[in-house]
Amino acid sequence: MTEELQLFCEDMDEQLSIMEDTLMDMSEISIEAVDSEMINKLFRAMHTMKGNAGMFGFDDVVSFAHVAENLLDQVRNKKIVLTQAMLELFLLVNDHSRTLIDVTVQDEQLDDDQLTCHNDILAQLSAFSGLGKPDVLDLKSDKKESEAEEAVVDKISSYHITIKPKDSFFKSDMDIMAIIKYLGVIGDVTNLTIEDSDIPDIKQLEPLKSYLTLSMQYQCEEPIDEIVAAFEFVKDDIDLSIININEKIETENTESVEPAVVEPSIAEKAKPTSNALAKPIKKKETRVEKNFSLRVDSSKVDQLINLISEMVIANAKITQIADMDDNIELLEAADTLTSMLEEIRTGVMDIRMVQVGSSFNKLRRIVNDTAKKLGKQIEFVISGEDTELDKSVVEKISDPLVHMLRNSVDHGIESMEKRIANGKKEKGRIDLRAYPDAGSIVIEVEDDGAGIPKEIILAQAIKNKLVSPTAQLTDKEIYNLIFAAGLSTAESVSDVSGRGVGMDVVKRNIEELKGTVDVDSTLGQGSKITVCLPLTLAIIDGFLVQSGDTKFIIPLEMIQECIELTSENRSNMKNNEFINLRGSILPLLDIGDYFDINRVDYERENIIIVNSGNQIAGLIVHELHGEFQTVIKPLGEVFEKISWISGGTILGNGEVALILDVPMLLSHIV
Amino acid sequence: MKILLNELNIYEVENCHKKILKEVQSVKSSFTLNFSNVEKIDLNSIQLILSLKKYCDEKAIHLKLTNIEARQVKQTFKMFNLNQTLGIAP
Repeated sequence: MTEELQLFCEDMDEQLSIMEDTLMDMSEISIEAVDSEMINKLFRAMHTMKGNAGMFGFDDVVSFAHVAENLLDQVRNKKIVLTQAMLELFLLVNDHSRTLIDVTVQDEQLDDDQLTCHNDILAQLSAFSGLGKPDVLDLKSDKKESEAEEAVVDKISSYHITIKPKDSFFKSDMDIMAIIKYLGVIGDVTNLTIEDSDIPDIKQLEPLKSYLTLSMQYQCEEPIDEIVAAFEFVKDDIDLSIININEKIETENTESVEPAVVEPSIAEKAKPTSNALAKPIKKKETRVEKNFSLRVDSSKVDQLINLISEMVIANAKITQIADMDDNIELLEAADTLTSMLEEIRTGVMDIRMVQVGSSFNKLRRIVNDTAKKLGKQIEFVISGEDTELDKSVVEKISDPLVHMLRNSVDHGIESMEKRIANGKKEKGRIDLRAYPDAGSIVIEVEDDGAGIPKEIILAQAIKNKLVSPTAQLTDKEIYNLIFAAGLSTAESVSDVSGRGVGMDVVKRNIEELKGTVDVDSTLGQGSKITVCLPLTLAIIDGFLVQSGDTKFIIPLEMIQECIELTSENRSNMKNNEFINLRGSILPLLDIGDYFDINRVDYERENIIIVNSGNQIAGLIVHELHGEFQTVIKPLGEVFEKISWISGGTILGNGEVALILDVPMLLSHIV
Repeated sequence: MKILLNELNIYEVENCHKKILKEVQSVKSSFTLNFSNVEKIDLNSIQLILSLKKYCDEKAIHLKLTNIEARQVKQTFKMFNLNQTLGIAP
């Protein structure tokens, strides 16, 4: 796929998401409460999609979007009253547009079912917008209609457009003819000519170089911005001039210009001379500068992060050498470099951070559709949309969230009858929350449904030989059995959920992201699934510690405090693995013992108090080296089964330090 | 000269340029480009044909474009108002 096509797909996806979000907003309020801004938003999204597709010559997408856009235009101009059925139809339009774009981009054809759907939607759109449904039409009197038509005529502007492709234009592989065709869709193109006076004869011609200038007259209702936007994809490869023939537009940077009288070209010689443009017209030229955001391939950002990672390691080496040589000047320089690297690192990381909101909003549709399919009414509440997370994490968390939400709708929320019988509101509620917590992002899915029946879960797990019949499990351990492969307590298998596959995949996907997932439930009151994810996957602020001759990194944000493990503490422990920390029991884990590291006698032992979620514990280590910018390096297949190590990092002297997976360790201790 | 390609585009234009140049330099009064195989044409190739037209006009060679049958090709010439310039029958 070319870069332009990739951008096109991203743009289309963005517009479809805007459309879907708006439709979901509309469906959550009464139809009378839908305001004009919502309808305008839908219209703009559909209009932009049509324009983008037109630029690439995707005629099928253009014509489909055109019909939908027409209906939206009628709705926004209050010629047609918006109905619930129309909203449902626009959701179908949204879904089908996605299919149509995918198929078109792949240069394939719609299959029979898709074609039937395509034609059916078009027929329904036409039925709404063609005067076939008088009950939903706000019929105007003839006089009003003719006034409206006159108003439209008044709005039409005429432009003279000149396009001069740059020398290397053809190498950009962009199709200017598709843009002109698109302009023909939203307006009228006339007198399109090729100014060929610069074209050399075929002996002198460099065939890949552009010598052309295209000019045309153009009439449309759209503002000049829309015309300029049509050239968005080629704006760097052409010189574009758009002159409004109807009106003089005063702009600060442009002065009145007299169009150059050019010698008629071969093509123009053959044309009738009645062209209004043959006479010099004193008009002002308007060039519209558009603000634009820069889309960068994420692999370029990844490459930057990798480079910064290597710089961090190199700088650690410089710092160590300077330290060993006691070279104060070099140490100061390395220190400055460290701060600058930290700033660059934060800046580059910020590029990768995206708000989870857009990803969450897509889930509204899934909850809505699943609830509808199951005949349930559900209030879906999203909070913390502005919480930021690494883009790759956001993308990968989407599927697990879909599974969790479907499960909540299907198994969590009871049927309306059951809810009423249990004295609950007939409308169930699912909350999806995101918030930062101790260097991680927590995502919660909570429902006020039936809760998880732990006896049934346990019985099923014993039946499936997932646990021994004599096992003594805590409530939490039983709830977490829902993440075991092959366990489902659904009474019936539906096409929504209940086959026992899904939640184990959810857990696996989350663990692949170095995150954790936990479930809590109260029978009759509901369940809560808590996902804890690392902010980024590349570089973290770590704390370097040592046990025996092995060095470990503990993510700094998970460290609550460091205290000394005094001999008094030791004697009070009486061979137990906890101490009394200011009146609370603090479970301990001796890292040296846990990893079977050769013991070395140290003068001092330390406890690093770490927390993750609501769990807290102390890790006993022998030496504290301090903060360390940690570049996470994967340890490879050999270590992949060691779940309490999340990776490795290279220290300045070339030594490897292991990064502790604190949430995983805590789950072993607490 | 019969164009053997189905598509006249940026990827073919250099080869096409060489072949046409070779052929047209060997004629004196008339040069025919047969489009019967051509189903698609782009702006780059239109430029090539206008450049050929320029050469033919300078050398007083009569340029004829024949058998333009494909819809896209017809529409493209029409879109740029080139039918009269290039002597293409409507």
